[in-house]
Amino acid sequence: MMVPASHYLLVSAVLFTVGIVGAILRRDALTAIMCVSVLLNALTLTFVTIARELASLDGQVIGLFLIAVITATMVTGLAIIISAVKEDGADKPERSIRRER
Amino acid sequence: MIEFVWLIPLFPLLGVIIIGCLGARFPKRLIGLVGTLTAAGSLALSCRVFVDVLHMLPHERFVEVVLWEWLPAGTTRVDVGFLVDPLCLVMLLLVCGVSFCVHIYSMGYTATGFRRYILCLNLFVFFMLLLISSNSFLFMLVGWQGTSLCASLLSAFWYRQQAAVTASRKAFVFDRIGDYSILLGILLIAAHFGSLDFRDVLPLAAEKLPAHGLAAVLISLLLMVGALVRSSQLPFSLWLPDAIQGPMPGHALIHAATLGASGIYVLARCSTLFGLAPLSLWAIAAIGAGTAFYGAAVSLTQFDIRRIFAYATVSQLGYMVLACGSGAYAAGIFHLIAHAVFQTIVFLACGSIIYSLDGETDLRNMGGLWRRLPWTYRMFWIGTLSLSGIVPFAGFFSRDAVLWAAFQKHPVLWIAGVITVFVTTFYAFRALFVIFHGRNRPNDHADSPMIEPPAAVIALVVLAVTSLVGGVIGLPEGLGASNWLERFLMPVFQSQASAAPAALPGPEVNLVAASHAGGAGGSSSAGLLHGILTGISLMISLLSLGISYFFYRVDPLAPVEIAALFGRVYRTLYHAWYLAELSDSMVVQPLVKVSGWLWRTVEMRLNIVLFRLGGVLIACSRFFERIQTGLAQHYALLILAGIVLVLAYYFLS
Repeated sequence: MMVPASHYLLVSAVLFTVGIVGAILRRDALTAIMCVSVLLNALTLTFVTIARELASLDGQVIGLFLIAVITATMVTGLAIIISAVKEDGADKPERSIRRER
Repeated sequence: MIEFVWLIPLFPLLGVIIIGCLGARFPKRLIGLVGTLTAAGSLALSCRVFVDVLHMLPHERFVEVVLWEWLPAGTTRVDVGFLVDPLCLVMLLLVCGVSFCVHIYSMGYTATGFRRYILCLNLFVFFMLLLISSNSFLFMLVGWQGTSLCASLLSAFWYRQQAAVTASRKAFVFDRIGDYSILLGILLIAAHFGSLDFRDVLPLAAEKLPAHGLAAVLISLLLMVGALVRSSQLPFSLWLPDAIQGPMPGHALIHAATLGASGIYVLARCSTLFGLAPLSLWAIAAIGAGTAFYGAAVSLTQFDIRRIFAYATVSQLGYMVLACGSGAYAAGIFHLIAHAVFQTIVFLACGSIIYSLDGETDLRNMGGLWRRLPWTYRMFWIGTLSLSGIVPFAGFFSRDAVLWAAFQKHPVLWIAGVITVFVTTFYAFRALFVIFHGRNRPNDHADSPMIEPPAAVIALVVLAVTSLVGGVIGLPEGLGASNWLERFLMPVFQSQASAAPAALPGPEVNLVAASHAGGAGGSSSAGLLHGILTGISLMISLLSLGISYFFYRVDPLAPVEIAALFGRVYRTLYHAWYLAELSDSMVVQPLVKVSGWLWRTVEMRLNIVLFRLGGVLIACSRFFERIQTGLAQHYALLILAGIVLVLAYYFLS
């Protein structure tokens, strides 16, 4: 039995909201980026769902692109965070981003 | 070749471009050569155009060569064009000739900054040629401004000296006064005539402006002030004497020959306009006579040879202005030519002297130079004789023409002119005797090199010969000769004057017309009168020469005694009749006081109001800037809020 598309879209919407809220409200840079990744994945899910609904391959191709983009984005973001955190707090411990404000 | 008249100003401009862009690596000889070649080119072309025009009939000698349309404005337009007529030709030959001689002279003295000097010189010649050959008031103004700029550049040539910079600034500011005046006059002309072309305005002046009307008087007064400031007449004569701070040959070209001449040119060019307002002509004549005397009297007491001859220039310009005010514009131009030649000789000779003495300019430190600078001495004699108006030099004939015109305007003007003759000869020979003769004043220049470069000597000799024989172009008719210059220039002033109203007060038109109505045959009484007056002025000149000889060769202590005897008079003359102090107290100090008052009462209050206003704005921005927290997440939240709002609007409508 086919799962109705509306279920997928609902999951996708929930994931998107979680991602947005997390990206904004998280004080931790690392988890904020993880939330961005979540919402981008929700986006991918939406595209693929609609593609199956419309019986076209366009959405799935976009989905593949999105996966590549998400990966690149995450890699870059993680690299920035790691290099920022590495020397963080060496001279001014009170201004380290690792501490919860 | 007349249609190529636009090349005449172009040659010096080319010189500027070549020397300016490529000349940094030229050797000094080459720079001088380029400058001289451009001057020679202009001179050759001017001569050719002149010869071409001579072949034309007198009433045809008005050729307009238009290059392109410059400012089209509705039905009027201003073109970049040149008006070739006798007046323009005469001035072209003069400027090109003097420029050529000065360039040759300059090749003999190359020093540091030579390139800058030649650039200034050529740029100045370019603008001056534009000024005199332009065909409209607006285009003339381009040359007017440009010459003022270059003159100031040259005054401040040695810009590390404070005196030079101050003087240059002063000259520039004074010229702005003249500029505003002449600009207002030109605007009035545009308003009344609807055009700025000379050919549209000048011949038709009488038809479009009511004679003795307010418009005519205003226009002529405004133009007059502009010309007077440029020619350094009273009360605007403060700038010229101080402005001679740069290299002397540059000043020879600029101040002796051309800058003051541009004022006279304006007076001559706009003769019709002045003819419509006799009040302005009287003012011009009076100011000219007064300034002539003023300049000569002050020159008597100065010790800096540059200032002596600067005041001499002021005085001689006064003569030219006097001639124009008396209606004898041809005489004014004649004196302009003669003056340009002899004053250039004098200035160039002074340049040689100053250079040879390592920068010494004070009379009191010179003496006995006739042995060491023989050629300069000889040429200086010729220049001085011409300046003093001794027969047969050009200065004699030209000054005589001026005095004759002045006499016809009013005998008092003639008397003032003759007194000035006495003083002129006196100070001229004072300079000569003190500089070149007498015991060696104590100076440490005994071992300065006394060089007289051949180039300098050649230039001086050429000018001296011109001064010697140049009088022939203006031999007066009253004495039986035919006044070539006056007849050549007559179409310019007559076509401009033929429209002037016939009922001009005063006898100036009648006697002038009478003296060349019949040439040698007519009005013999006028001729006799002319001869007597000429004789009087010549005798006064010779008398003055003798007295000067006595004062400065025979009894050197006499001048000191006289100066002590007339102490107050002497001091007044030495301080230039306290004109600077007078201007300061009458113009500058009141301006300063008014400005100070305005600053305290108006501007400070205004500042406070503006600051308060600014404070309000700042408080507002302090309130709103709190939205910029610098945190990316806050901005992300704002973006999200914006998107939600847009979507809500989209879905709900």
